[in-house]
Amino acid sequence: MGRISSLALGIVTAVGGFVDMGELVTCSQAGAQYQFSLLWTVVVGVLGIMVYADMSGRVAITSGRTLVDIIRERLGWRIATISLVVATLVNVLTIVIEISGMALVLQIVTGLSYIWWIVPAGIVIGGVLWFSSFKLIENGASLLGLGILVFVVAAIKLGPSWGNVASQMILPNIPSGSSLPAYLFAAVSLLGAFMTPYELYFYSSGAIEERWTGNDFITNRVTTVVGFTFGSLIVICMMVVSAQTFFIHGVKSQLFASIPVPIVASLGIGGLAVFAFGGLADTGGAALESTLSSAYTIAQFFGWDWGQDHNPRQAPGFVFTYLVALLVAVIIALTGFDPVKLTIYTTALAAFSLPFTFIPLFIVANDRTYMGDARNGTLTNIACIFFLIVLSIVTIATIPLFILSGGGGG
Amino acid sequence: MADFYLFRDVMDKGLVDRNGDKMGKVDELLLELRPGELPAVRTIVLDHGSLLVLLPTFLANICRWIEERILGLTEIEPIEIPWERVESIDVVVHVDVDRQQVGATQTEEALWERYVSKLPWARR
Repeated sequence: MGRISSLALGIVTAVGGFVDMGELVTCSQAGAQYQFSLLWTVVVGVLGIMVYADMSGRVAITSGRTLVDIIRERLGWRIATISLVVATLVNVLTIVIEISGMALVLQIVTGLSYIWWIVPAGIVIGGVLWFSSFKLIENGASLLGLGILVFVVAAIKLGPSWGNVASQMILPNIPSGSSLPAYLFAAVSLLGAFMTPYELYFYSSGAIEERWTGNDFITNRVTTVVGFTFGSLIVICMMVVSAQTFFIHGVKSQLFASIPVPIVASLGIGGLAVFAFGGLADTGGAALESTLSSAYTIAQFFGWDWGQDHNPRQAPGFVFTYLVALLVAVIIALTGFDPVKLTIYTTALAAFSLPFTFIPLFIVANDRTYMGDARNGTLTNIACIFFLIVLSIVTIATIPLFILSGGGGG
Repeated sequence: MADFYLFRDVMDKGLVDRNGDKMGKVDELLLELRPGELPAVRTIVLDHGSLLVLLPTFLANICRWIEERILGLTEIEPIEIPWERVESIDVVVHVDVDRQQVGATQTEEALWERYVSKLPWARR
């Protein structure tokens, strides 16, 4: 494949793969409850994931190491074990919410309770993982997930005050009567949704799976900057349509079924069909990636053979791990614990866990012996220190905010 | 071989055998102290078991339960690779041994034999 078409594919898949259950739920609720006043989290979160993903891609290209290799080498076995346990917990919970997301989309389409769709969704994810190549998983679901661009069309049609949208990204105007702890907890969940760890493990491992070389620095940079910028437009529009439909009518959106209501209101049943198609592909793609990420982290931690392009005989530990992670996730999903609440908690936990991976990555990205000329520049380091401060505050504040906000409910 | 730092350049790095296959991570380094001589690294150790003592008890118990009940491995012996077998150190540590001969793949083999090989189309 030519370089231009490869870059285009990278951008398109970054856009299509940007949205998952985390964004669908947190953005919809944020728009409904706080109108545009949490849009600043998109700016912070998307810049954060750009810096983070670019750095992990660059480290993988230059040093041939994945994020997990780096964490273990730099922090040692003990701290890396804590990081592994937290990462595995977040990854498995992410699989739970993504499979539940698939099931909830199917519930909207068929009217049959989502709980009946959990097992079929799990079987489809397991089957795709068992038979598909890395390329197919990486690109297939993301391309199909472009249907989620329907939120952009709906936002344009609903015609908000774009000046107000833009200004609230920088100067948020928190609606009167809002609980501050609940607002801040929602911000934490949004940041966790935009910077979900599985995306980074997947991205870092993908660079090794695809044998990126020095020629791929530009692919890495363009994919992260351009792809995520366009991806951020989708989540901005998700918040905007929710605010335009729910907030202005004083309706708090707490159900998954309410997420496509703005789409139906502005684009009719055709819009709903596109949402269902895109939403199913996006949550399915995220389920595939988070399941693989759970296996990547464990196999890489122990130094096992790993890689989606290996057959089961070549990487039995890797295959076994993703199958067990999927099975555990399906069992948890079948308990019927509210998937929307679980999504909020999982994204908050994801935000809480980010420094465990960010700090070692930041250290290695500045290490001359590992990185040579590809180490962080001054501008990247300033951005990294800013995000390190933000992530540290988030980590310290998550649990107190959870308690003060009554579990995020306000 | 050039000078290097044990913790920065060797500990917790990936190990690769003479065929270029992954064979785990450097879990420990065995330092030998002899009277009148400088301390010397004698062996690289692959041993998740010895590291279990560093975990909180409940996590260590979970790991032991997994080893015994899930993998069917009652005693996983540490694998010691003499330092003389270290060929080079770069992104990983290259050693002149065969991973299967030294038993470095017993966990993965156990997973294959007990579970993965029994699934449909596993041997494709």
